[in-house]
Amino acid sequence: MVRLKSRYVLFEVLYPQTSPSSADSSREDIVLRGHRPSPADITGKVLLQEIRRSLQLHLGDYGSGKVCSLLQLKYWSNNTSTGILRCHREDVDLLLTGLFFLRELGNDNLRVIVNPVKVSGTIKKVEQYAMRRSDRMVALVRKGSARAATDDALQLSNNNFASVTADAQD
Amino acid sequence: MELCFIQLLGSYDTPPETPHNMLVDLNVRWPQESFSKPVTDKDIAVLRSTLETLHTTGYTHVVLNFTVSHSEKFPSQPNDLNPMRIEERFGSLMQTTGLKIYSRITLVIDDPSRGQTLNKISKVYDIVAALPVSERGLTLATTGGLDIDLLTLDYGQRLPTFLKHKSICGCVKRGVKVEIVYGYSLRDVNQRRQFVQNVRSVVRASRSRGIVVSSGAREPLEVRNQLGVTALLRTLGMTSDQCSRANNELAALVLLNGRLRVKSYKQTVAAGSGAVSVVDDPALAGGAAMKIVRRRRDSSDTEEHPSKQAKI
Repeated sequence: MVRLKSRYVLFEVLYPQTSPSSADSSREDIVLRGHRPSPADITGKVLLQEIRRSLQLHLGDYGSGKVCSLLQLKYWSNNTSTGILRCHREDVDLLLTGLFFLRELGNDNLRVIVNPVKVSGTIKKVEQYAMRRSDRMVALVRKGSARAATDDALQLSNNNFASVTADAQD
Repeated sequence: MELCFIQLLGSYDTPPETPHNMLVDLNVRWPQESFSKPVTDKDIAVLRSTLETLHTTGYTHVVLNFTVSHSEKFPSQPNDLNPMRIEERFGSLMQTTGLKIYSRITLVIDDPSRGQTLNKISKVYDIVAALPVSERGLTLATTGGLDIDLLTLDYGQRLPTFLKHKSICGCVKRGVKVEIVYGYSLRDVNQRRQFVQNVRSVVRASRSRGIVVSSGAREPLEVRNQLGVTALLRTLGMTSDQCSRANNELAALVLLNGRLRVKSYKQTVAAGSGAVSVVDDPALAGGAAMKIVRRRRDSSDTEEHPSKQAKI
């Protein structure tokens, strides 16, 4: 029997400032402004619902049906605003297109960018990549910053993959 | 400018100086509609946060795009021709983030008979682009009547005419790239539908050669990273290697071509500070004074190696 092949998409949710930012800000400020924790009412369920809605709106019955046949949110963390999605190997482009057009989240219509970071065939590689990435980010924030080990920086590194659910089919 | 260096440019399939980690956005809207309307501080602040978001999503080279009508009178003072003053406004941002910012002018071409010459204007901008909104404008832009680096279209509206393969491909053959602006697809339903339709016809007419992709972002929320853009273009019928070239190599090539138009001798020799890349060289930035060094070349030498003469 042929194994079910899937792709895992690591994504992050960015909340770009629409209010003007100050003229001279340090590199740490820019990194921290770019990656912010999500509010508590953005749960995995809300997120998945919004993704499904975007797929339905932009790709129609055919596209959304195709992608949603295997669409799972394997991981979501409010602290780091990152998550992992699972889909069929053939439908990864459609899923990414759905994420491309996703502009608002939650009841307050928070305006967001959903930023796909990495696509891989195994969840292990995606996790490792996410950890390396957040380590790099924390190192960048701590370097030369007077406010070393601030709460923000700690939150950036707080990826806990113990909560990732195992695949049922594999 | 104590050091001169020579850079021979090969054929444009293998650009000599495009490292793979270079991600270019050729179109971020400069918040000004004409030369007569000055830019406000608020607009600049929004633009700054757009640039920060671009940096966050991984872009390394960003081009600010000033769109004006071709028939509008250009200011007579040379200093007023480029109102961006990038170094003054974004110098500190460029230093802290390592982002490189360039300038571009897009001319909206409606009636070619009322247009002006580009000699003066092309000296102060890194890239010159054309946006035809009528059939005659498109003919002018594609037949080489104007010295441009980039052909762009209004993706939110119906195209002015059916795009012919001959005109678009002829344009690409001369080295002018065709731009896809995905910002239109993020605005409203009608524009999105029109965007898909227009991208399909551009891909068909150009046989997906020489396509570059850029954001056209007006605010931070209209920025997407490379993975997302690639997925969008793939669902619209381009192959994945063409997609990755569209905001890497080819876009870098447009930048290089534009820089060399003004800052080199016959697009072959550029005098700079000796940096590896003409695009990144600080000595060639903005209106920096430069000296052109002419070197004589053996005529037999050029005949033997015609490929070395290849113009981009």
